[in-house]
Amino acid sequence: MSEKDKLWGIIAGIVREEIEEMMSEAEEEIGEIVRAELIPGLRSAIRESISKELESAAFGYEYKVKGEEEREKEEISAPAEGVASQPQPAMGKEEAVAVAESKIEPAMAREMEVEGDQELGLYLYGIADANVSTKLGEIGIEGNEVYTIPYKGLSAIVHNCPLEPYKSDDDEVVKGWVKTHQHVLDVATEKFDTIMPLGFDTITKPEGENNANAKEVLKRWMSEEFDVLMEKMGKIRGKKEYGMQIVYIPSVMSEKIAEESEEIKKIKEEMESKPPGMVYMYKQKLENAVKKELESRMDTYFKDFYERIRSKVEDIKVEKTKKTDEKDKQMIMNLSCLVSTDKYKELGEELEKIDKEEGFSVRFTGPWPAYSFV
Amino acid sequence: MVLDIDENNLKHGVLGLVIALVEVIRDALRIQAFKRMESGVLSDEETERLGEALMDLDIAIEEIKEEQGITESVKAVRDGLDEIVDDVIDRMVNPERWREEAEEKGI
Repeated sequence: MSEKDKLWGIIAGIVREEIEEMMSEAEEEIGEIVRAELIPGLRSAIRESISKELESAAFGYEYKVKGEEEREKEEISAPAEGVASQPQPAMGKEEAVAVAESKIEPAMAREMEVEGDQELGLYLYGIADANVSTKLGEIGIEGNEVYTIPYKGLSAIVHNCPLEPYKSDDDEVVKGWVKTHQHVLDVATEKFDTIMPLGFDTITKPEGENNANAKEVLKRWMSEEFDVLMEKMGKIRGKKEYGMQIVYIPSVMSEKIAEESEEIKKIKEEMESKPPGMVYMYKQKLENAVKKELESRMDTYFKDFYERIRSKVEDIKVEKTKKTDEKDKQMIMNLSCLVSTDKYKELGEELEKIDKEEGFSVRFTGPWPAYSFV
Repeated sequence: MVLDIDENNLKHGVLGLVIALVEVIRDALRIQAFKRMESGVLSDEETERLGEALMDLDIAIEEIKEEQGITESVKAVRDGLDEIVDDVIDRMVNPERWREEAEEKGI
């Protein structure tokens, strides 16, 4: 224990001594730094309190505008009324859903008997770019039979369901449902080529007061939204969504920078002739220099990769970068891209080139339903 | 948010917390020392002394962590602190967050 006490004593001594020394040496400077550091903080605190004050007044307006936007969005993903749209759990995109080679029965136009039934809802998977009435088999959530309801040039992909949304406290169960949802969309994509996906748990309910069953409500929605749906369909027709993430290995990059940068070489040379205390300080200088260089390079790489990928895809969305599973890798960009079939090969070649660049690797996933673009 | 400290082992928890704080102070000192060095107000001799002191502090901290087997709990505390700071900064600098918060409160 006495040894530990001694160490504590040393630490306390050093800390106190250095703090005191620094304080007395540079009181004014510290004052300035503190002021400089505090002002932005104070400003944002002021901003925050102002915005809080404004929330009750001006915010009401802004919120309304946003609310309307959201409602619009909802209308796109679900019929206006009579619909229970659950907040979507993360669509298990990452857990690649195996595209099962399910044999689909040839189109057998048979209308499902839902007329006049007020107890039945319709679970919506998505909208297909085709006018067909057909069955996809019992591949839906909980083994339900999936079929299509056509309207003009579009068909809704649905199964008959109870009026309650699918809910469970068990994450695994929900994950299973989401996977099934995904699987149905995959099967439908193979069959109809272009599918506009809808979120998990989009359910059309009958409207008792209008004496309309779920199917009628759905058709009415499709006719009301027809132009919007067609426009969106046109955007994704013949294209598929792919996810791509580019990661780099910081240690490899740092090494590369250390070899290439003159500034860093200079710091290293200076270091060699210094006593240990100085070397310690110089190490920090070195780290800072490498970090700065790394950041500016990543900026350049980002722009470069972005341009290169941009020219090969129809549409591009920059998603938030996430922490990678592997500790030694850092994500530089996370993209969702809408890719047309004829450019797919070119894109693949470009990504391969990026993948081969030192220190970088590319993760490519898909095709997915075009969630990010509808 | 609650820091993730092993409650079954109070010594680890408290000691981990203390050392984590010492590390934070050390980092702050190091940054300040470095700024001094760069600005040129320190003589070579002073820089050397500062560097050595910081180095000794590093060694002492590492030894204590090793001896007490608290490397993990120190890391847990620091990760927790990092998360809090990230969160606070994110909320301060992003006006979108203000809106989200206002909406959450139902205003």
